[in-house]
Amino acid sequence: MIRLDNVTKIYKGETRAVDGVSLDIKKGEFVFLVGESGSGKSTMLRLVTAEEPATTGQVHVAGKDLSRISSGRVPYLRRNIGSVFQDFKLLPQKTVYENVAFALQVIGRPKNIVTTQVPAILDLVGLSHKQKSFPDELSGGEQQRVSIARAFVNRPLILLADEPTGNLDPNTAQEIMRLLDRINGTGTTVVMATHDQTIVDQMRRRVVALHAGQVVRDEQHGVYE
Amino acid sequence: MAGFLGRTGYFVHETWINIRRNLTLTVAAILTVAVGVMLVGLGLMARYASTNALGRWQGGVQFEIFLEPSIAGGQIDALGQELRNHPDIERIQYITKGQAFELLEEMLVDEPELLAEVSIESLPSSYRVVPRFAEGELIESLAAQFRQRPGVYSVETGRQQVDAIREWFNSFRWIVLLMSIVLAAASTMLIFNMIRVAMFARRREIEVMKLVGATNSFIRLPFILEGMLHGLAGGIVGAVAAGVLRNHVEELFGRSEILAFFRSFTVTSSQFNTAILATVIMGVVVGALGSAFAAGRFLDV
Repeated sequence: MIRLDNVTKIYKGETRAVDGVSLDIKKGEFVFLVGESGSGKSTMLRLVTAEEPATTGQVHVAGKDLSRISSGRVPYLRRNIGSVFQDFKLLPQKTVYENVAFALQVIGRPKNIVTTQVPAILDLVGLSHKQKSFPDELSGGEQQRVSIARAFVNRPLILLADEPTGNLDPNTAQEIMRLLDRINGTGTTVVMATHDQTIVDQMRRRVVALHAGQVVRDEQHGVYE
Repeated sequence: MAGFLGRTGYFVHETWINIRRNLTLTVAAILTVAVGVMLVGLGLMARYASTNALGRWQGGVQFEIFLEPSIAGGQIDALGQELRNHPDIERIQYITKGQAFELLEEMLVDEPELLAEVSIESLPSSYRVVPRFAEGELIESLAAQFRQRPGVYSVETGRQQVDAIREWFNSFRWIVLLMSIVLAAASTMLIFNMIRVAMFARRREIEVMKLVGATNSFIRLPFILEGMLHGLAGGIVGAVAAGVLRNHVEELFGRSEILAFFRSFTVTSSQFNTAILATVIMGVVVGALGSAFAAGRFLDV
């Protein structure tokens, strides 16, 4: 589903954010990217969404070589990828329902799809009763669930999560992990960059550890350290 | 098609939100566009009007060949024949001494003592010549040709006056054109900036849209529509202002004796419509250009 072949990303001619990484992530896998700040986790995610081009090497996503697709095709690639962030990136002036519906509207999904998919996904994340609330009326965990609903409402093949529990207390973080696990259970490939040792150790999924832009460890049922 | 229609509501809604957010900037942009395109419209009308007026004078622009009082009858006829057969001459009119005296009588109606000094015999008879084209150079060369003929006392042309008017109008047109270019550029930049501000205000939405895979054209379209709408509004305001001004000016020309000369400076209704349409289109183009530049520039994927 995601394959990196000897990928290097150099920012502004000097910083090697990702350094010669090769990695193969299969469909339906759940992968933790771990490592200290600046180890290259976020850059790897940005390479996958084509927000950044690789300096050298090749990135393949859903069978496509990203160095060969035109910028006009990038949006269509991203429809296969859901993204979740530490800071949620919700639109404050839109309700929960509108935030999720927005993701479908802007890719031109017809109205009847929007009106059936959005309630279904809000039900999945347990926020049916809050669909008319605005983001600032929700707790951090609820906001992150809205953001996951938005990322997943289009049923993407891949879900990328960059520190999704970074701003949450341990109990709420557990809730979010259960949700991501459920989504993974539907066959969606999940890649999650995290610092959260407890979660990684508890889940026992594939762990890819990065240091200074290089893969230093790749274990099928790994722990944080 | 159904998808597109479904999205129309979205575009209209988004565009409306953008406009409401920057109301002062919106008004400033619309007014700048309006003034700019109004000048375009007025310039165009002035151009039509001057062409019409000069065209009208074409029939009236003539020169007059005054004959020696002692000229023989045969010479007068021969000269008349030559003028009539000349390829560059449309028509001629012979003014006898008697007719010349009548014209003088009309001119000096308030000064009979001056008229009393003049006898019919002392006045020259003349040919009034209307050339085929109201070209100053043509008139001048025709005048020169006939100035040398025996029996010709003098030839008088109105070239200087027509040329002066033409020149005045040309520079007027250039000034208006220059001003409208400057104002169109200013309007484009203002709209460019306004769209930039609008995009900055909505950067979070744009970020999310890019994240979930909205295409660039989908993200840009509401902003471009917004710019075009400003341009259209400015164009309409400008066109109305130009129309009002035109009526006002024509009325002024009609009323004032001093400005009576300008009465032939009128535009036909189809020319007026063309100018108004051009004014509105110009507004839309300015709006589209400014916003398309901004949307293209500030949306990096």
